Amino acid sequence: MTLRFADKLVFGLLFSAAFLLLISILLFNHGETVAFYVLSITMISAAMGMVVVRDIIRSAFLLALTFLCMGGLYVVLNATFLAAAQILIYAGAVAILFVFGVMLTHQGGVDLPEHTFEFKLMTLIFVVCGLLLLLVRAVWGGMWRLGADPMPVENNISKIGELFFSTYLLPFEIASVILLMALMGAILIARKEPA
Amino acid sequence: MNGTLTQQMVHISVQHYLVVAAILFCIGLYGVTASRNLIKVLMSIELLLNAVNLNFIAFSKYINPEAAGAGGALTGQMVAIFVITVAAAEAGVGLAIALNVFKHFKTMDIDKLHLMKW
Repeated sequence: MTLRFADKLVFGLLFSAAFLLLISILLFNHGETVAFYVLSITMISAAMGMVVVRDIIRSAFLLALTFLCMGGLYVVLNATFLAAAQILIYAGAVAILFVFGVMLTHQGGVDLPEHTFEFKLMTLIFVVCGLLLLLVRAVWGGMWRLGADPMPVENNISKIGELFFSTYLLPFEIASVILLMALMGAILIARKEPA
Repeated sequence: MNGTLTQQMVHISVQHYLVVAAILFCIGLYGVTASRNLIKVLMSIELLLNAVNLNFIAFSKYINPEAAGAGGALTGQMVAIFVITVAAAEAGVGLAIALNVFKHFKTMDIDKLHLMKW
């Protein structure tokens, strides 16, 4: 795969975003604000690129970038355990799984046909923009029962572990059974000979 | 919601995260409906699940702990962990089904997969 001009542009923007993030956290009072804006703008641009780009392997890597930025937003939200889990599971495992899926279903450089421009435009206007307007209207007009202060910055990993084995014991066990079923099911479905 | 626009933009509240999650959800929805590659549809579903997770975690930071459920303010984070678990399982099984589909039909175009369509 050769790098095109757009790829280099994406890399340059990415490096400048990371640089801006570091500078803002080190220097400014409003580090949280700057980090939120840089991470969310990078994330939304990467997600748009993932949906729009025709080359499927590029969209897989843009998906990994989206997951990384989401992990950064979790750090801003004081959810450090979830940030680690997000980067390990999503950016590490799921994105690589998609890369494998793309490579195993490769069709020798033949691009798949796309929907017509009219269909895409109609989807964009009626489905997406309609839902977006509705959601933003609901978010800004809603009355939220919020605490006086945001959750204090503290180490909440041990509390998560306690909750796993007290309040959420049954969902925890069910989740492990789901993972086992998915493991066996994926092997059974994807193997060569029919069972 | 009182205060000038600049104050609203500088002071990050829960609404900011909800709007970002809404935008991400709509991008994922567009990807699900407007792309014809099976792998890309699966990727867009992961985007949808991530947007929902962002909502849960934003609420877990800003919610009033007395109004939250049994887990206190950490309820949102617990739910998000279970969502991540189910999403990982979904990605594995979905990829396996996609590989099987490719073996049978020799294509990833979802418009060609109309075996169950009347």
